[in-house]
Amino acid sequence: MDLTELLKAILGQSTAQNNMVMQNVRLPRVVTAVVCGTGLAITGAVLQSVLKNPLAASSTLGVSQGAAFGAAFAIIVFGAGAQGVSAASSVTYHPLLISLFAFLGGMVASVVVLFLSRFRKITPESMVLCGVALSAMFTGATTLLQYFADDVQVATVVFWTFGDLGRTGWKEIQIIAFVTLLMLLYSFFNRWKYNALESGEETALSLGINVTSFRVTNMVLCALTASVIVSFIGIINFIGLVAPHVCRRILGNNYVYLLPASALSGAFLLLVGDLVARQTIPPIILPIGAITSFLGAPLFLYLLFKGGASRGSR
Amino acid sequence: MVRVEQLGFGYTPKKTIINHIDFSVKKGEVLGILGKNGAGKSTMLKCLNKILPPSCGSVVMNGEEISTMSRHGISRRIAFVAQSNERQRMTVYETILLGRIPFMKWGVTPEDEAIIEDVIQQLNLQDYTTRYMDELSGGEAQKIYLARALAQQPQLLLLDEPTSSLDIKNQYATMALVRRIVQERQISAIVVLHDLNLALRYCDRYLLLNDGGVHAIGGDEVITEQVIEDVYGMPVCLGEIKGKKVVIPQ
Repeated sequence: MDLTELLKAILGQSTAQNNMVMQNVRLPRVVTAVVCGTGLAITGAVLQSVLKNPLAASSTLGVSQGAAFGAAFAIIVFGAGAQGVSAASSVTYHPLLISLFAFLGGMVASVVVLFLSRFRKITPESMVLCGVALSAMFTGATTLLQYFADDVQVATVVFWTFGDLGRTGWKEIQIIAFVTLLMLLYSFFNRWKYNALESGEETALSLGINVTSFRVTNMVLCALTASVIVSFIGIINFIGLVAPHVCRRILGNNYVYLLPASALSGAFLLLVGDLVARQTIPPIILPIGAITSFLGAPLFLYLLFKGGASRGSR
Repeated sequence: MVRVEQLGFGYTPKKTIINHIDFSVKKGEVLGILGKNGAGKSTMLKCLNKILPPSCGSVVMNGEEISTMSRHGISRRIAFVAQSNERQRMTVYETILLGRIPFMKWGVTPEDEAIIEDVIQQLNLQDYTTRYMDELSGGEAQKIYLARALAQQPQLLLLDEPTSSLDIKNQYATMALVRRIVQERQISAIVVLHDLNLALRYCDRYLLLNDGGVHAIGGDEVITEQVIEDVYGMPVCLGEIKGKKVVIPQ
């Protein structure tokens, strides 16, 4: 298919088959990648600021895994996603119910994280270890759920924990886009407050920011965004961690630039990840969660071992 | 004019950190807060702008009671420079701009920019604006934090050990700058200091804290050998060099 044909298909002017493939398969996939990449990256950038932790992201803190457990709970216990004929179509059966439970799961992890960061004042590295513990707990709970589920339900949950951009239709994209837009607008409106928070809590207080309520609002919004994304496309690791860090290296820590740049690079990274997933062994589509982990894990290790230095430069 | 009456703070009702603090600061005046480690100096400073919520007492500034104000309202009147500031990968200009946050609605306005320019001129920072904070020396960074505080256009400036990590030249330069700004802008400053000689040189009046209470308050006359020994638990000699009082530890 050449470029004109492609444009025609996007606008619905090509052959019926082309139109259908483009508008029901290809385009939703691309839009999902862009919207979810944006959402995950913004969530990462915001969490890194409000928790003052360069290693923070929804997947490293256990928020994504909490959301995954919540969604699996909805699918298996309430049958929210297991009513369909195939695993692929069944997941979106009760999208809002799955999202709601994902959000509850994500919030449980967020509350634990918030409690640890506020009242125990643990180091960024310890926080990530807590994230590992939380992730293990939620993954274990998800496995237990699967043990009691029937075959279709297990297939649904397993397939979906790989992370997949191909199962979202326009209806699901609308929900993700709404939440991502909310997060985007809120964070952009408060961009200067993140800058103040980066300068220290006392400084932020003296600049008129109600730090505690700002932190809680942000955590809830981040949990909501990450959970909704996880509930529709599964766990996508490292985008939320990598995208803001790449931008930090180039632009510095000013959130006025960092937020839009992170959003763009998150969208770009997830699109590239999807391209790699689809083009490595065609026609097999590799799970996107595995691809982003492969690409992101080395950078995560680099940041972890750089430890003190990376905190100092933040 | 700032008037503090019966100010007290404690993490629990039984264990108070500071209590019954009374003092006032006039416009154009620098008040030095002195006392040994753990005397409650920083705690008292943070109570003045409600970073720590006072358990009793009142802080009245130009007839307005601070304790009833919102955090936002306080930040439009009182600026604070913390003891330790985290150096960011942000430019000097962006850092000074943080001082405009209390006044921002949607973003930076031309008025904000004009105020920042004014501060940059007053502190002679023209050559620094595009440099990154994490590339500056301690003395330079301290100047930028002062600039950020001034961008808030405060009536009261609170400085928590502004000279603690600086060499002797920068200690005197920073305090000279504070004094100049306070006089030029006719604002008040309350500064926690450890160096008695630095305080004697640049403060108009002194508040000596001991065990969370006021031990002495006043001008140069309250700095006596006996008061210093009572407060710091160390004998000193007071002398005079070139007409200026100096403290020499024994």
